Amino acid sequence: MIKYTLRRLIQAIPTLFGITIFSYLLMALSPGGPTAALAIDPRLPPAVRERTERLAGVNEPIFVQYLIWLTGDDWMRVDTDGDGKADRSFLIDIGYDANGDGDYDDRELGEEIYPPGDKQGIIRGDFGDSFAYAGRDVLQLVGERIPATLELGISALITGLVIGVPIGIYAAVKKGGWFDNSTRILAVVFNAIPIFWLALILILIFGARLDLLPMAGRTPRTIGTGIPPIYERIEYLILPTFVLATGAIAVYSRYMRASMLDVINQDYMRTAQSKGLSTRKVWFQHGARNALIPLATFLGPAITNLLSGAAITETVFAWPGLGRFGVTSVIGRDYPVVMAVVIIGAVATLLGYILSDILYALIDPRIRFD
Amino acid sequence: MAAQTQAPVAKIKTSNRGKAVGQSLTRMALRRLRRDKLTLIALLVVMLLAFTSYIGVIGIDRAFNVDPETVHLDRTFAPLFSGGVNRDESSSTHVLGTDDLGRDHLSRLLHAGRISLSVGFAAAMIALSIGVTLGIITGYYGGIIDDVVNWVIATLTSIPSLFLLLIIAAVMPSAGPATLIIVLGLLGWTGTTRLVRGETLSIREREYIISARAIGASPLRIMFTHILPNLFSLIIITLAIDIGSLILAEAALSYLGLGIKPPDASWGNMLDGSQEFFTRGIHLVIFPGLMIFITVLCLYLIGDGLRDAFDPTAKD
Repeated sequence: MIKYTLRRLIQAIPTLFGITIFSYLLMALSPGGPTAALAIDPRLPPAVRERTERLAGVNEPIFVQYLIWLTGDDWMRVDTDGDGKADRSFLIDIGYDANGDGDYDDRELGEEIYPPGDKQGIIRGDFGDSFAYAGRDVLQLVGERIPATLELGISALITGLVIGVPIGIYAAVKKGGWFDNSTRILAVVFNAIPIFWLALILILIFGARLDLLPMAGRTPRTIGTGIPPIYERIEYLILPTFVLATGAIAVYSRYMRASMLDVINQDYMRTAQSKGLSTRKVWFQHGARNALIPLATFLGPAITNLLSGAAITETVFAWPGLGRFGVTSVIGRDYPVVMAVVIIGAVATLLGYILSDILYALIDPRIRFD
Repeated sequence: MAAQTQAPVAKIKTSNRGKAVGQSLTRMALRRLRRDKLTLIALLVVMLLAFTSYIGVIGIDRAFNVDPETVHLDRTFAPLFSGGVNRDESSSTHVLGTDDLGRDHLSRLLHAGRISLSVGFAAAMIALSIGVTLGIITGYYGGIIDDVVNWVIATLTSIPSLFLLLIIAAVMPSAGPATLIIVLGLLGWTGTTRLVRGETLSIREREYIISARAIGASPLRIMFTHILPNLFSLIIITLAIDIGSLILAEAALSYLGLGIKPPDASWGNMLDGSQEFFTRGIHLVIFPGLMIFITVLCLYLIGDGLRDAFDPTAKD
């Protein structure tokens, strides 16, 4: 078991690297990318400008820039004697001094020693500072928005399961009947409907016309910083949860139906029937319980879908979560935030995939770990 | 050999008159499709939508004296079937009313349809070409190419797709339909590659491939004249569903302001900001979404219908 988990975790490492390389390249190569956005004042004296650029690392080769972003530069430009000046370096310049300590690549600069590196790299959770939020730490900004997204995501996942699974079971039991056919249509409809439009229509009906539910937001309280407990603002959760859950309902109901139909032909079902158990007991205790097992594999894809869906749902409902933060940061070109949101989303997805594999192996006794 | 059991693709059908008729899978599929009303209706609706958006719109614009761009500040949020006299004394009829700038809604919807359908179709073609080519190559060769492509797929699929689209759309220097097509096409191939790779893996073990190899056919020939034709049904099913999903993706991006940008109309960007129209013109909220929904629904139904029709295990 532990061996299996470890192996899955190790297998995820190349993917994780792929994600960081891919997203970094995308950002670095974009016109007006992160380096241009540093907005170095053109009136600065060349020496100061050079120094600023050096410290930001914008003139390094892209590989070195990636390495700095990934692992930080505090180990590349080190201060060993504690005088606030770097004296040992790896790959990047530290300037030079009159005594001859350090790296002498650039003598025209004058007597200049750079301070030691202070970036820790995303590997240690340092995503840098936000451009838009006046230099606030990105991880902190993102962290503030995670609870809202989790709240919405988890309630959508539960809604999807609670509605989708029984529909799937019942459709399989009554295979070919009107219920089965209408849920088949329902699944296609739920897949084909643009969720932002569904959200708009629901807001229009329940918010603007009937005035039953709030049109947007997470809490009625506008003053103060605290968020009231969830039971006091459940009405704010209803519409976004349903909108976000439509995809899950469609997928789970179809998948549960297929899984149930697979199970029906198993020998143990026939055995249960021939033992004289009631139909209800055969279907639900012997059938549905086993048919649920493959659903465990859906956790990974479910996380990506929920996060993608959250970007739209949160934007339409002005829900203060990660998805909406990602969208506004992309539009506002707040690159450090975008990178953080993407990488956190990707890591969550990867972990979801691994977790669902492990869950599947745990629940299904037919799967062995070796 | 395991392959022997999965080989039969064509069926022998004994008709009522007692004659044995051999039929190819494609012919059987066409026959089944002819009886599948739902799929036929869906096909008809999509064709009608495409026809109206590409050709019919010219006639409609002329008949009602409207166009998608002209702003009429004297009749913003006009209701359905309203009219108005233009500056040059000619009169226009706004069948679906006008939007917040007084532009004709029907004309905009149809011109938007042109863009949305084109983007969906072109992007699906790109995605499909990449997906099928990579799928066949990785399935046929395996080894290091397979590992590398799988790594790329694993990487791309673990980033939530909308985030990925958002970043790329934001990073792209110019945002026009062409850019959007390329972006959607370059990101949409992973699912197809997986499907085609799986199919290729099973086809490559069949006898006719082995005999083709034995008589010295080059790998390229085997891949593209022996394997590719057998992927036909898979490819057209995927095409229908991909066009639908890519229209949805384009709509979502344009809605968020990162896809097709005004003044060009697309179904997605027509809904951008429509929350403000709730009290003044509901038609501006309903119709663009309805167009996306109907188009995508029909494309998905066509995909489903084709899948059933091409299913070799299905009974007549």
